[in-house]
Amino acid sequence: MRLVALGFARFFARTPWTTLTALLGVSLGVASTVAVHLISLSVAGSLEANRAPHLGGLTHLAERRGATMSDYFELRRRWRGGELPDVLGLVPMVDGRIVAGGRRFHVSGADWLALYGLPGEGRGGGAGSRPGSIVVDAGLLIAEGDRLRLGGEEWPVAGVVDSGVGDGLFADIGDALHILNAPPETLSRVGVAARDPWARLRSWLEALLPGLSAALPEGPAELRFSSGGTSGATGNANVAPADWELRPVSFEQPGARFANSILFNLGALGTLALLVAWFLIYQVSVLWVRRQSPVLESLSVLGASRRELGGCFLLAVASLGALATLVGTVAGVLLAELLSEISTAGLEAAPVPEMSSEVVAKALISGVGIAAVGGWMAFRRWGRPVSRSLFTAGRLISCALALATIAVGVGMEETGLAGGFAAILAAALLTVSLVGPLLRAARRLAVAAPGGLLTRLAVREATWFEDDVGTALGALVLAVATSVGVGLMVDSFKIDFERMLAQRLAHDFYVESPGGNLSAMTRSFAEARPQARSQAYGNLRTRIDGRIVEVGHTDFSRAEAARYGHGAALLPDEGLASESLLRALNVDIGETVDAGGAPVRIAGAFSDFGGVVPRLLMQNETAARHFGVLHFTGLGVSGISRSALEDRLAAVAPGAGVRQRDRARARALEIFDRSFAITNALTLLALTVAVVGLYNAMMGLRLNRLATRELLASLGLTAAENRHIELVRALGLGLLAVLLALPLGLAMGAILCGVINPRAFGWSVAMSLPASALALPVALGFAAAVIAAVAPSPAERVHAS
Amino acid sequence: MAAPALALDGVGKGFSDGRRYLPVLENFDLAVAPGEVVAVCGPSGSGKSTLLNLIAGLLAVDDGRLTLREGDMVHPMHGLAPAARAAVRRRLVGYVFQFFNLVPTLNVLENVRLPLALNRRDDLAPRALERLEALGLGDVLHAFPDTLSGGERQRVAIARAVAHEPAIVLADEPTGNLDPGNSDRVAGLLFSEVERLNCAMVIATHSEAIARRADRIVELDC
Repeated sequence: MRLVALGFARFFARTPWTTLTALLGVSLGVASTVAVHLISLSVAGSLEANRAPHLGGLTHLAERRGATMSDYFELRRRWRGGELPDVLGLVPMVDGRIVAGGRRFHVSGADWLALYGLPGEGRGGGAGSRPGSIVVDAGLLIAEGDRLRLGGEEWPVAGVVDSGVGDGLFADIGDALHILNAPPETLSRVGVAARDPWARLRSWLEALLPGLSAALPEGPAELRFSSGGTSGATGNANVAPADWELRPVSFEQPGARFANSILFNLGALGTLALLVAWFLIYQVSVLWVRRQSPVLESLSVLGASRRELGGCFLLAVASLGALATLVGTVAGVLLAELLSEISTAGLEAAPVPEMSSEVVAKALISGVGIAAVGGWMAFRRWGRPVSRSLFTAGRLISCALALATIAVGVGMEETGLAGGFAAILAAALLTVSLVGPLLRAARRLAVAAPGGLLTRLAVREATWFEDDVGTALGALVLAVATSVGVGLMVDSFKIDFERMLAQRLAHDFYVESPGGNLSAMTRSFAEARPQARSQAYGNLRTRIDGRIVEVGHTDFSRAEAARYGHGAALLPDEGLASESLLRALNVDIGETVDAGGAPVRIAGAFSDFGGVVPRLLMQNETAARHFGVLHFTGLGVSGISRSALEDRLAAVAPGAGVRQRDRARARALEIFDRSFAITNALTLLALTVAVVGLYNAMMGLRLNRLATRELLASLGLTAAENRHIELVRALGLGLLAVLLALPLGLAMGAILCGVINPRAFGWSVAMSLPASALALPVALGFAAAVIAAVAPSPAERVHAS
Repeated sequence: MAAPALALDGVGKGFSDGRRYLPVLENFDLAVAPGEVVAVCGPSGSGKSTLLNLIAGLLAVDDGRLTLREGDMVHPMHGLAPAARAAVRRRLVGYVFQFFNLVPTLNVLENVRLPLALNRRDDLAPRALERLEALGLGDVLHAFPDTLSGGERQRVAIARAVAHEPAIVLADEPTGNLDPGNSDRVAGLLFSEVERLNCAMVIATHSEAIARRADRIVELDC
């Protein structure tokens, strides 16, 4: 059998171009996997480093109205007595607001000693709030090492995190009580570290691909928090029936869920190139097996068993996969750095992590795995009749399963991101399985194709050789469809985003002063510059039904409300809710929510793309009534020159920043484009692998058409006529690919806009059908087919004349 | 003797395996008159197929002169670029291969019309149809090659080789892949078509029976 294996190896060496293209395709697939993993690790690292330090290791927060430290000790006594079996640890916490030095702070304190030792503790990247020091949110624009004077004492800033709280200040509980000037008995909530039933799967999925665990439910679905039984679960909120109210800790970190969703989407897209590469290796293996078929048959006659022959073939293919892994891993590291550079455009970003054994193992499994599985599936077909029937039991069952997966994944919101992506995968596989039947139907139509004889010949050749081009065509369909789907989603998103910017950025200039109060300046403008129009905006953070919500307030005249798609001025106790707030609180327009201890009626909803924290907008008067003193942090100004504005600012609000509308808009769009740079790069990578696959298929087709080409040469076919045949055939294949890719791409776009986006980020995107999103991938599909058809294959070239 | 339809004068051809040059034909002379059939015999590797490919212009001669004649027009094939040789070939040569070599994606009628389309001689289509009927292929005009028997396929190949009424027919072991019964029938049809068109034919064969039907036999040695 050593000789057989040697024979296979020599066969690969004698078909160097086919072998090289297979190597290239699988290497690109592995490179994509490695690059996405490294980038995801980098993003996940940044995310962990920015986790609010007082929440490290916690899964839930328990609250009870009027609770004191005595209640915490009582709870701890019950826990230690074994009454709370699913709880791993309890942490007393306080929080409150102070104003110091003209700035507002949201102070949070947790018992550092109780946090110590919990699973996941210290994930705050070393920015933990140890006694005697504080950690601040990046939104406060305070640097690490600075000192803040609070509660009559100076506190060193031990770390800065971007926790999404904005004005957060984190400290040990004793220090927080001191800063808040609160009595020692004060208790705001109790942090709970619960046993996560998904912990093992979550950790396995994270090892597989950072962010992938975002597809799982957040933390334990149900938590036994009293000896009396299990808590009743409402979605992810666990409510203890006894006396404590439980909420998942993710309520405190809206940004974390957001970032995890991005990672998940990135990971799902990253596997696409690998899937296309699998198609490639399968198709190459089919070709190799077919070309080696006479040898295999001879060896079989000599007594070699199918198992032995298969083993040798797999060994040869897996060796190729191993080589591709090596090349792909190195290329993946370079690609990760390149993509990271593209997506950050030179801005400071977390460095791409070093290679780890985990990444190498994943690359090896990807490269060798797809090579071995693709080779095995191809070898299985050798010597066995291939069913061409459309209605085999297996095919019907597969179709039924795919349709069921799509229905469940799209229809049941509980299936989350995993359900949405499973629906996309099922739709893709269903469509790819239609390539064979489509080729057969097209073959029947091609018999009556119009045009000259050479054109007819070329058109028929595009449909005739299912075994040669079927798999590669499937891969091209997948790549083009993804390009269409992702393109539709990004373009639709951008149209909505631009519309939102056009509505919101109504003033010529925006003045921002996070630490200062601009209300005085508003008054000053009204007096000094009657021709200038200005509007002050304020915001504050509160909790509604346990979730952190940003409350925005301004003078909501009819014009201002119209910018949020609402037709009338807001009435007292009315609010406009962001789409993400409606989803988070599970409320609809017309219903009321409790904001600041009083009800606010949701009069309308608006899209707030890119807003991580759910928002509620209301009139200044309503906010003042519900939350006390107002705090204006932004000012929109029109009808004044920039220099005049800056002069005025220097007088009343030194330190305030000015942004011009056009620049703000351009900056927002730049960030938008950069956000999708990696997405576009990965789609392009998958398309490249598909081109390589189709090129390989075309090469096989040329070799199998050797006799026809010799015959045509004997009839005096010129090189130009031969190119005509190749081109028409390529366009025919491109047309078939596009015919299947367009509906699949539209379906993918619809699922991404209508299912994945709402589930991942809380907003839905109205799917538009911009010509560019369709035209570019369609052109790319045709171009891919043409490139694959006309690209030379020097080592195995056959001349026409 | 009439002016030859085909003339080879001191033709040489060889191949290189990268290390050495292997001559196949050396200083080879041959003249074939219109209507004359020449059988080329010899063991495998003696250069029969190479000779046919040189005449067809599929290979370029290394030495000597090779000319094809069409009426009063003489076409020197030596020294021509591949595209120019292809242009001469499509008009003057009809080729029959051992392994039928039909285009699998074209039906019988289309296969036969292919040389007419390449030569823009659709005026010959009715006559090509007649020949298909005469060759007993009237019932399979719209059938694709994979549904035909070996004998039928070779008859289609013959019909295609003569459809554009070439000056020279080249046949490379045209019955080598057929059983004896079909072999005799196909050979008979080929000879009668060539006689009907009064064109020259060079036929490479191992078959003594076919060689005996030729006007002349040329023996090639290894």
